[in-house]
Amino acid sequence: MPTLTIDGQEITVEPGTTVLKAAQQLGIDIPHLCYHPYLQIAGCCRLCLVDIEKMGKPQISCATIANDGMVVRTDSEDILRHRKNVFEFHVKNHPLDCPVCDQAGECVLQDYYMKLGLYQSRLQDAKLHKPKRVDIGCGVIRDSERCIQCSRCVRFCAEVTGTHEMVLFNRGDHTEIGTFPGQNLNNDYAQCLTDVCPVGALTSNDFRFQCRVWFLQSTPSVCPGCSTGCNIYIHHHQGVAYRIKPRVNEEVNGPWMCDKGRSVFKRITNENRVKQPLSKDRGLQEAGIREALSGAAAGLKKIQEQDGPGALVGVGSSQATNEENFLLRQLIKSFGEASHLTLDDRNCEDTLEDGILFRADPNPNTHGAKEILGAAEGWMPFEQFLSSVKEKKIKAALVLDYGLARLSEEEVKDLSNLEYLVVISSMKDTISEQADVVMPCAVFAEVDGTFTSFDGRVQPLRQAVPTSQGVKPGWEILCQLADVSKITDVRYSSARGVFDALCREVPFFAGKSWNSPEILVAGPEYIKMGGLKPWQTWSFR
Amino acid sequence: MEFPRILTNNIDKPDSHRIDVYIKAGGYKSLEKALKGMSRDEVREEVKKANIRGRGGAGFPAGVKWGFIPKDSDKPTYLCCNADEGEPGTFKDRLIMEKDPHLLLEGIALCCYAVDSHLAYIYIRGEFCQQASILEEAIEEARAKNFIGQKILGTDFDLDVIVFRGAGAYVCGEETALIESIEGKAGQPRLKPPFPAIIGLFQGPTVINNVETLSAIPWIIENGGDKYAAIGTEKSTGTKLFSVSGHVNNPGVYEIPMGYPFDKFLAEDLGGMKDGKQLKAVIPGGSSVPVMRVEEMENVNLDYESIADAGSMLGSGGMIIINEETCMVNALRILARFYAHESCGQCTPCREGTGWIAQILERIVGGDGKEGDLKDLGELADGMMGQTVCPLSDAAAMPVKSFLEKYRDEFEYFIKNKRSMVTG
Repeated sequence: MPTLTIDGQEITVEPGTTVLKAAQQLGIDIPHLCYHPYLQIAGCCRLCLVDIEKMGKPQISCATIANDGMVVRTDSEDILRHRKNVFEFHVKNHPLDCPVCDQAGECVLQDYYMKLGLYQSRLQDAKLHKPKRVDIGCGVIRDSERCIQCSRCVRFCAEVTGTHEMVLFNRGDHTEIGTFPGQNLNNDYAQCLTDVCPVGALTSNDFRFQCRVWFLQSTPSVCPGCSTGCNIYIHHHQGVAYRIKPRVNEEVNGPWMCDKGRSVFKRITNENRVKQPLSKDRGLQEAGIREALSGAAAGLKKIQEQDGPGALVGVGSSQATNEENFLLRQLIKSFGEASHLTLDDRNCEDTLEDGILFRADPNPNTHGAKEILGAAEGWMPFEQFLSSVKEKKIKAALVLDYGLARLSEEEVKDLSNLEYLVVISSMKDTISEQADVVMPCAVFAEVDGTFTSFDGRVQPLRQAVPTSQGVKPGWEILCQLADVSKITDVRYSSARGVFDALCREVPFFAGKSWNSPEILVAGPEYIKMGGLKPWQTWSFR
Repeated sequence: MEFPRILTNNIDKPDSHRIDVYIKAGGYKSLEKALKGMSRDEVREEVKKANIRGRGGAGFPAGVKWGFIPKDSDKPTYLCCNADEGEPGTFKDRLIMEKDPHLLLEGIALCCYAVDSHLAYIYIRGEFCQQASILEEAIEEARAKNFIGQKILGTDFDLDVIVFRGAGAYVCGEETALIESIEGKAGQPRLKPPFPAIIGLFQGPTVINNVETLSAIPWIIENGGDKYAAIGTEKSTGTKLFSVSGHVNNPGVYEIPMGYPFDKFLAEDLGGMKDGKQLKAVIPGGSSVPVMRVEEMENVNLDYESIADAGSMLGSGGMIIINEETCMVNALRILARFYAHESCGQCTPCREGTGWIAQILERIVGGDGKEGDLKDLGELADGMMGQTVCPLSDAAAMPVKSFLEKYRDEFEYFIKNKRSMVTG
């Protein structure tokens, strides 16, 4: 274990640690551009130079392995001068696009200019011109003038996706990043390029000119796109979500996420959102909330009394949070011990579809919903549920958001066999069309809650944007339904309360609580989260 | 002064590139001697004793470099002969390749035997089409006579030689960029460490030597390393090829012993200055070394130490002689344009610095120089030195610094008067 001294401070590190990483462990941030902790070392920006005793020239700290007895200075006059020189070369041809560049506010060149430079340009000649605003596919826009040739995008496409689309063309200062002529980006992680690019050379088309980043608030959550459960940040401003960025979690997704996950925030503003409760009595038009709830409660109660609780089924959802599935269980069970619970867990393999992050199971909470519903009395496998509906043995169902979303056309038709159907849904779809009552519920970005990923990892979501008037989180709707049905033991005032109850009752979650470190989102840092801006929380820029 | 023609023994003979001419002159005897009578260690020992320093420009002792090759690697060892000859002013290697290719091939074979390599690449610059053909023909001639191929001369030493053509990049003369190019990638130098002797071509241990260096090996093996070391000076042994261009009466390639006085070289071998003009400046070893004023070249001998003491470098031996009628501002502009064109673009100080310096000099020569330009040039050159992946950045910065230091008056005149002090 080598021990070295950096700026007068001693530190012992694992063998093979670079000087840059050792400095980071001491809290010394050596400026760097091309270095990225999850990509191979390039050593081409030359900004991370440090003085090492007995080594004649300054060395790049990102590529120099720490040796025992090394004495390193990151702040000598020489090094500060070198940094300024190297930085000046970086901005020599960089266009002054800041007023129109999306990266402004989270741009390394801006940050380093304030830290290292703060000088007037001495350039008397023209800057080089290169292609700008080129759509290179997968929603990524290239601006070659802004590029500082750090080669992170090239390395990403070579090492992470293995697709090798990005290349550096030409030589000298005419070097340009780009894709092969006539070909575009063609992988499911292309938006990660907008993360790794430290400047505005690769930007997202979705986010283009949408919002200045210094207005954005950052809320941690979990992607609902598949069972991997990549950690994300939802960036929003004044109640509108603008983009999703990956949140670094070494054990789950590293610093990456797939493109499918990036666009899930568009669910929030999907034109098919259910905005108000809908009631069949009114021809599936909008009804007041009291009216809808009491109608639903009455309908379910009628079936319970008429055909017994065995004719009642709660259909959970692997898209809904643990809390919602748990409350469904509570509610249905309080209609009678013989009532049933089921979950559509068909085609929910955990295999990695693309070898990187995306899993075959397109649902974020199959594992959690299964643990909660599967262990309960009256659990009914889904095939049995479908045949029971066909045979009219099941008369009524209470369905969570997306609970029946993957039914085939045939199976949807069979639902008309049900006498009463209450659906808690965020979107209008073929299922909600069949319902007697539709209660509008929130999507993932509008709720507090937890998902359980494919490997049993319980991860928290935090509400990023408010719901529109009349829309509520699923767990709240279930509490209201319980209230109207005069069921007294399903009464909670926060998702936190539901989760703590869930942890007490479901064996899989035993020992956890809302205060557990993994649920509290990186521990005490979350408490400070409200004041941090996106560039401080998401970046390995 | 008498000295053996180690490198230029055959070049004046008709059809000197043919193998029968080479054999008649005693060629391939060293290879036979080594393969049949010397161990690999012994061959390396002779080269070490000769203390021959790399003739490509860096001057690193070849015997020491060969000693770095690990004996226990699980990957094959390669030899890359650096025939890129990109340094401006240098045209000595092409002489050997055109006129005496078998001398090079014998040297390659000896080196491969010494480091236990069985595959050699000759990385030849793309512009040398004719020379590549000559080399390929020579390889076939050698193969037909069993000097290359399987079981050479009846021993169990196999060797194949591949001529690999470059595609027009000066940077591919840098050893790791050369390796990248052979591997099919863009010619961008690698970070060192690891050094090519440990991890080189296709991740195997690799020796990279210049054409001239390898071409001296046959003589060293035949006559002994100490005989080679007896020529030249103590630290700069043997003979060196100088390719001289510029305003002299007899430009061309000359083989002279190290330590030869420059004054004598200019007056006698080069026939003095053309048209009787005055000598103004000398670039002794390719454009990447500092330029020397005429007074600085007085009493300078042509070897590594002497030129270094005088303030420049022996480099590749590409000597450019400049007379009094040359505008140094324009000369620097032309050099700067070369480096800007050739920078690979990988690291920032070189990529942007070479471009910027070339822009400023174009502007000055175009008559639009500004007051701060000279200060900027100096600071930019300083900012490019000592902190890049490969020395191209230093090579681009050194001429700028030396020209500005020694001919500042010409630059100041040009900026102030918008025309050359020398040519008007």
